[in-house]
Amino acid sequence: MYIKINNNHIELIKSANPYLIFATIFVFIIGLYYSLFQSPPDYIQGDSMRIMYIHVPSAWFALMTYSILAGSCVLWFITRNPLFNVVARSIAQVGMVFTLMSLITGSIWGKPTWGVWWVWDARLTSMLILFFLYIAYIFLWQAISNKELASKISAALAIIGFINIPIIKFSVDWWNTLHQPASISKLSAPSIDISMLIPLFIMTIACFLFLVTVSLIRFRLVLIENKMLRTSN
Amino acid sequence: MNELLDMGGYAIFVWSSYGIFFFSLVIFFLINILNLRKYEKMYNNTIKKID
Repeated sequence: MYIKINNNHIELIKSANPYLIFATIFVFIIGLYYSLFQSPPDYIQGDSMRIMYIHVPSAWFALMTYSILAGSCVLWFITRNPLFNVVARSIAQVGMVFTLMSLITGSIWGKPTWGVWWVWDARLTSMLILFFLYIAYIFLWQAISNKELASKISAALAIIGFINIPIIKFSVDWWNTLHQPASISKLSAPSIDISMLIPLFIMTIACFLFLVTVSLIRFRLVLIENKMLRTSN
Repeated sequence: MNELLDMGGYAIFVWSSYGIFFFSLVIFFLINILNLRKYEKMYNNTIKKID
Protein backbone atom coordinates (compact mmCIF):
# COMPACT_ATOMS: atom_id res chain seq x y z
CA MET A 1 0.00 0.00 0.00
CA TYR A 2 1.78 3.16 -1.17
CA ILE A 3 -0.40 6.22 -1.65
CA LYS A 4 1.22 9.09 -3.50
CA ILE A 5 0.00 12.68 -3.60
CA ASN A 6 0.20 14.27 -7.04
CA ASN A 7 -0.56 17.76 -8.37
CA ASN A 8 -4.19 16.80 -9.14
CA HIS A 9 -4.77 16.01 -5.46
CA ILE A 10 -3.20 19.32 -4.43
CA GLU A 11 -5.36 21.22 -6.94
CA LEU A 12 -8.45 19.44 -5.59
CA ILE A 13 -7.55 20.41 -2.00
CA LYS A 14 -6.84 23.98 -3.14
CA SER A 15 -10.19 24.31 -4.94
CA ALA A 16 -12.11 22.89 -1.95
CA ASN A 17 -10.50 25.41 0.42
CA PRO A 18 -12.81 28.46 -0.16
CA TYR A 19 -15.94 26.28 0.11
CA LEU A 20 -14.69 24.76 3.35
CA ILE A 21 -13.89 28.19 4.80
CA PHE A 22 -17.35 29.45 3.84
CA ALA A 23 -19.06 26.33 5.27
CA THR A 24 -17.08 26.62 8.54
CA ILE A 25 -18.05 30.29 9.04
CA PHE A 26 -21.68 29.60 8.07
CA VAL A 27 -22.09 26.66 10.48
CA PHE A 28 -20.32 28.56 13.27
CA ILE A 29 -22.78 31.47 12.86
CA ILE A 30 -25.77 29.10 13.07
CA GLY A 31 -24.14 27.34 16.02
CA LEU A 32 -23.58 30.64 17.81
CA TYR A 33 -27.21 31.65 17.25
CA TYR A 34 -28.45 28.39 18.78
CA SER A 35 -25.85 28.39 21.59
CA LEU A 36 -26.40 31.97 22.74
CA PHE A 37 -30.05 32.72 21.79
CA GLN A 38 -32.05 29.53 21.26
CA SER A 39 -30.70 27.24 23.96
CA PRO A 40 -32.37 27.65 27.39
CA PRO A 41 -30.22 28.17 30.50
CA ASP A 42 -29.59 25.11 32.66
CA TYR A 43 -31.80 24.91 35.77
CA ILE A 44 -28.79 24.53 38.08
CA GLN A 45 -25.85 26.09 36.23
CA GLY A 46 -27.80 28.87 34.56
CA ASP A 47 -26.22 30.54 31.53
CA SER A 48 -22.70 29.41 32.44
CA MET A 49 -23.70 26.08 30.87
CA ARG A 50 -23.42 27.75 27.42
CA ILE A 51 -19.66 27.28 27.70
CA MET A 52 -20.38 23.58 27.10
CA TYR A 53 -21.10 24.29 23.41
CA ILE A 54 -17.47 25.21 22.78
CA HIS A 55 -15.81 23.17 25.55
CA VAL A 56 -17.22 19.74 24.66
CA PRO A 57 -16.52 19.81 20.87
CA SER A 58 -12.99 21.08 21.64
CA ALA A 59 -12.39 18.14 23.98
CA TRP A 60 -13.88 15.61 21.52
CA PHE A 61 -11.69 16.84 18.66
CA ALA A 62 -8.62 17.02 20.89
CA LEU A 63 -9.02 13.28 21.50
CA MET A 64 -10.07 12.40 17.95
CA THR A 65 -7.17 14.31 16.41
CA TYR A 66 -4.67 12.60 18.71
CA SER A 67 -6.13 9.20 17.74
CA ILE A 68 -5.65 10.06 14.03
CA LEU A 69 -2.14 11.34 14.82
CA ALA A 70 -1.17 8.13 16.61
CA GLY A 71 -2.84 6.00 13.90
CA SER A 72 -0.91 7.84 11.16
CA CYS A 73 2.33 7.28 13.06
CA VAL A 74 1.60 3.54 13.34
CA LEU A 75 0.88 3.38 9.58
CA TRP A 76 4.07 5.35 8.88
CA PHE A 77 6.11 2.86 10.93
CA ILE A 78 4.52 -0.09 9.07
CA THR A 79 4.54 1.25 5.50
CA ARG A 80 7.19 4.02 5.64
CA ASN A 81 4.88 5.94 3.32
CA PRO A 82 5.77 9.64 3.90
CA LEU A 83 2.11 10.58 3.37
CA PHE A 84 1.24 9.32 6.87
CA ASN A 85 4.01 11.43 8.34
CA VAL A 86 2.63 14.47 6.49
CA VAL A 87 -0.90 13.74 7.78
CA ALA A 88 0.39 13.43 11.36
CA ARG A 89 2.32 16.69 11.14
CA SER A 90 -0.63 18.47 9.51
CA ILE A 91 -3.13 17.67 12.24
CA ALA A 92 -0.88 17.87 15.32
CA GLN A 93 -1.12 21.65 15.71
CA VAL A 94 -4.89 21.67 15.16
CA GLY A 95 -5.24 19.04 17.89
CA MET A 96 -3.01 21.08 20.18
CA VAL A 97 -5.23 24.15 19.69
CA PHE A 98 -8.40 22.17 20.45
CA THR A 99 -6.77 20.71 23.58
CA LEU A 100 -5.75 24.18 24.74
CA MET A 101 -9.28 25.49 24.07
CA SER A 102 -10.76 22.59 26.00
CA LEU A 103 -8.46 23.33 28.96
CA ILE A 104 -9.07 27.10 28.93
CA THR A 105 -12.86 26.98 28.45
CA GLY A 106 -13.08 24.13 30.99
CA SER A 107 -11.16 26.18 33.51
CA ILE A 108 -13.40 29.22 32.96
CA TRP A 109 -16.50 27.00 33.27
CA GLY A 110 -15.05 25.40 36.41
CA LYS A 111 -14.89 28.67 38.33
CA PRO A 112 -18.68 29.37 38.53
CA THR A 113 -19.55 25.64 38.65
CA TRP A 114 -16.99 24.18 41.08
CA GLY A 115 -15.69 27.40 42.64
CA VAL A 116 -12.14 26.78 41.41
CA TRP A 117 -10.27 27.45 38.16
CA TRP A 118 -8.31 24.20 38.34
CA VAL A 119 -8.11 20.95 40.30
CA TRP A 120 -5.57 18.17 39.84
CA ASP A 121 -8.17 15.50 39.25
CA ALA A 122 -7.80 12.64 36.78
CA ARG A 123 -9.72 14.17 33.84
CA LEU A 124 -8.11 17.61 33.97
CA THR A 125 -4.61 16.28 34.60
CA SER A 126 -4.82 13.72 31.78
CA MET A 127 -6.04 16.47 29.41
CA LEU A 128 -3.07 18.62 30.43
CA ILE A 129 -0.78 15.65 29.70
CA LEU A 130 -2.41 15.39 26.24
CA PHE A 131 -1.55 19.05 25.63
CA PHE A 132 2.10 18.39 26.59
CA LEU A 133 2.15 15.33 24.31
CA TYR A 134 1.06 17.49 21.37
CA ILE A 135 3.73 20.09 22.22
CA ALA A 136 6.40 17.37 22.59
CA TYR A 137 5.45 15.85 19.20
CA ILE A 138 5.57 19.22 17.40
CA PHE A 139 8.80 20.46 19.00
CA LEU A 140 10.68 17.15 18.77
CA TRP A 141 10.19 17.12 15.01
CA GLN A 142 11.36 20.73 14.73
CA ALA A 143 14.29 20.36 17.14
CA ILE A 144 15.98 17.36 15.50
CA SER A 145 17.80 18.34 12.32
CA ASN A 146 18.00 14.79 10.92
CA LYS A 147 14.38 14.59 9.71
CA GLU A 148 14.33 10.78 9.32
CA LEU A 149 15.38 10.44 12.97
CA ALA A 150 12.98 13.24 13.97
CA SER A 151 10.10 11.40 12.31
CA LYS A 152 10.99 8.14 14.10
CA ILE A 153 11.33 9.68 17.56
CA SER A 154 8.25 11.91 17.31
CA ALA A 155 6.14 9.05 15.89
CA ALA A 156 7.29 6.74 18.69
CA LEU A 157 6.35 9.38 21.25
CA ALA A 158 2.90 9.86 19.64
CA ILE A 159 2.24 6.10 19.70
CA ILE A 160 3.37 5.69 23.34
CA GLY A 161 1.31 8.76 24.27
CA PHE A 162 -1.84 7.13 22.88
CA ILE A 163 -2.12 5.27 26.20
CA ASN A 164 -3.36 8.59 27.60
CA ILE A 165 -6.50 8.59 25.36
CA PRO A 166 -8.42 5.77 27.12
CA ILE A 167 -7.22 7.22 30.44
CA ILE A 168 -8.86 10.57 29.54
CA LYS A 169 -12.01 8.87 28.26
CA PHE A 170 -12.56 6.61 31.29
CA SER A 171 -10.96 8.79 33.98
CA VAL A 172 -14.40 9.98 35.14
CA ASP A 173 -15.53 6.35 35.58
CA TRP A 174 -12.33 4.91 37.06
CA TRP A 175 -11.64 7.66 39.60
CA ASN A 176 -13.63 9.96 41.80
CA THR A 177 -13.31 13.23 39.91
CA LEU A 178 -14.84 16.66 40.12
CA HIS A 179 -15.51 16.44 36.38
CA GLN A 180 -18.93 15.03 35.51
CA PRO A 181 -19.27 11.68 33.65
CA ALA A 182 -20.14 11.63 29.92
CA SER A 183 -23.63 12.97 29.11
CA ILE A 184 -23.56 11.53 25.60
CA SER A 185 -22.67 7.88 25.12
CA LYS A 186 -23.00 5.38 22.28
CA LEU A 187 -24.58 2.81 24.56
CA SER A 188 -27.35 4.84 26.14
CA ALA A 189 -29.66 7.76 25.43
CA PRO A 190 -28.10 11.19 26.04
CA SER A 191 -28.84 12.64 29.47
CA ILE A 192 -29.15 16.21 28.17
CA ASP A 193 -32.26 17.76 26.67
CA ILE A 194 -32.77 18.01 22.90
CA SER A 195 -32.84 21.84 23.16
CA MET A 196 -29.20 21.63 24.33
CA LEU A 197 -28.25 18.74 22.06
CA ILE A 198 -29.06 20.70 18.87
CA PRO A 199 -26.59 23.59 19.52
CA LEU A 200 -24.00 21.09 20.71
CA PHE A 201 -24.44 19.09 17.51
CA ILE A 202 -24.17 22.21 15.29
CA MET A 203 -21.06 23.47 17.11
CA THR A 204 -19.53 19.99 16.78
CA ILE A 205 -20.05 20.09 12.99
CA ALA A 206 -18.56 23.62 12.89
CA CYS A 207 -15.48 22.50 14.85
CA PHE A 208 -15.14 19.46 12.57
CA LEU A 209 -15.25 21.72 9.49
CA PHE A 210 -12.61 23.96 11.09
CA LEU A 211 -10.46 20.91 11.80
CA VAL A 212 -10.72 19.73 8.16
CA THR A 213 -10.16 23.22 6.70
CA VAL A 214 -7.05 24.04 8.72
CA SER A 215 -5.67 20.49 8.45
CA LEU A 216 -5.86 20.71 4.65
CA ILE A 217 -4.11 24.10 4.70
CA ARG A 218 -1.44 22.62 6.94
CA PHE A 219 -1.23 19.55 4.70
CA ARG A 220 -0.23 21.78 1.78
CA LEU A 221 2.15 23.70 4.04
CA VAL A 222 3.90 20.53 5.28
CA LEU A 223 4.19 19.20 1.70
CA ILE A 224 5.96 22.42 0.64
CA GLU A 225 8.20 22.25 3.73
CA ASN A 226 9.18 18.70 2.73
CA LYS A 227 9.85 19.77 -0.87
CA MET A 228 12.04 22.65 0.35
CA LEU A 229 13.95 20.33 2.67
CA ARG A 230 14.60 17.98 -0.26
CA THR A 231 15.68 20.91 -2.48
CA SER A 232 18.09 22.27 0.16
CA ASN A 233 19.63 18.80 0.59
CA MET B 1 -30.39 42.78 24.83
CA ASN B 2 -29.16 43.54 28.35
CA GLU B 3 -30.36 40.11 29.43
CA LEU B 4 -28.26 38.52 26.71
CA LEU B 5 -25.18 40.54 27.62
CA ASP B 6 -25.62 39.80 31.33
CA MET B 7 -25.92 36.02 30.77
CA GLY B 8 -27.72 35.57 34.09
CA GLY B 9 -24.75 37.02 35.98
CA TYR B 10 -22.23 34.77 34.23
CA ALA B 11 -21.33 37.29 31.50
CA ILE B 12 -17.61 37.44 32.33
CA PHE B 13 -17.30 33.63 32.13
CA VAL B 14 -19.45 33.04 29.03
CA TRP B 15 -18.22 35.95 26.91
CA SER B 16 -14.56 35.47 27.84
CA SER B 17 -14.81 31.76 26.90
CA TYR B 18 -16.39 32.48 23.53
CA GLY B 19 -14.01 35.41 22.95
CA ILE B 20 -10.85 33.40 23.68
CA PHE B 21 -12.17 30.44 21.68
CA PHE B 22 -12.97 32.35 18.49
CA PHE B 23 -10.00 34.69 18.75
CA SER B 24 -7.65 31.69 19.02
CA LEU B 25 -9.27 29.86 16.10
CA VAL B 26 -9.09 32.94 13.85
CA ILE B 27 -5.46 33.68 14.79
CA PHE B 28 -4.48 30.04 14.27
CA PHE B 29 -6.21 29.98 10.88
CA LEU B 30 -4.55 33.25 9.80
CA ILE B 31 -1.07 32.12 10.92
CA ASN B 32 -1.38 28.95 8.84
CA ILE B 33 -2.80 30.60 5.73
CA LEU B 34 -0.10 33.33 5.84
CA ASN B 35 2.61 30.72 6.40
CA LEU B 36 1.32 28.75 3.43
CA ARG B 37 1.48 31.84 1.19
CA LYS B 38 5.02 32.60 2.45
CA TYR B 39 6.26 29.04 1.86
CA GLU B 40 4.62 28.85 -1.59
CA LYS B 41 6.41 32.08 -2.56
CA MET B 42 9.75 30.87 -1.17
CA TYR B 43 9.43 27.52 -2.92
CA ASN B 44 8.55 29.10 -6.28
CA ASN B 45 11.54 31.48 -5.96
CA THR B 46 13.84 28.54 -5.17
CA ILE B 47 12.57 26.62 -8.20
CA LYS B 48 13.06 29.69 -10.43
CA LYS B 49 16.66 30.06 -9.17
CA ILE B 50 17.42 26.39 -9.85
CA ASP B 51 15.94 26.66 -13.38
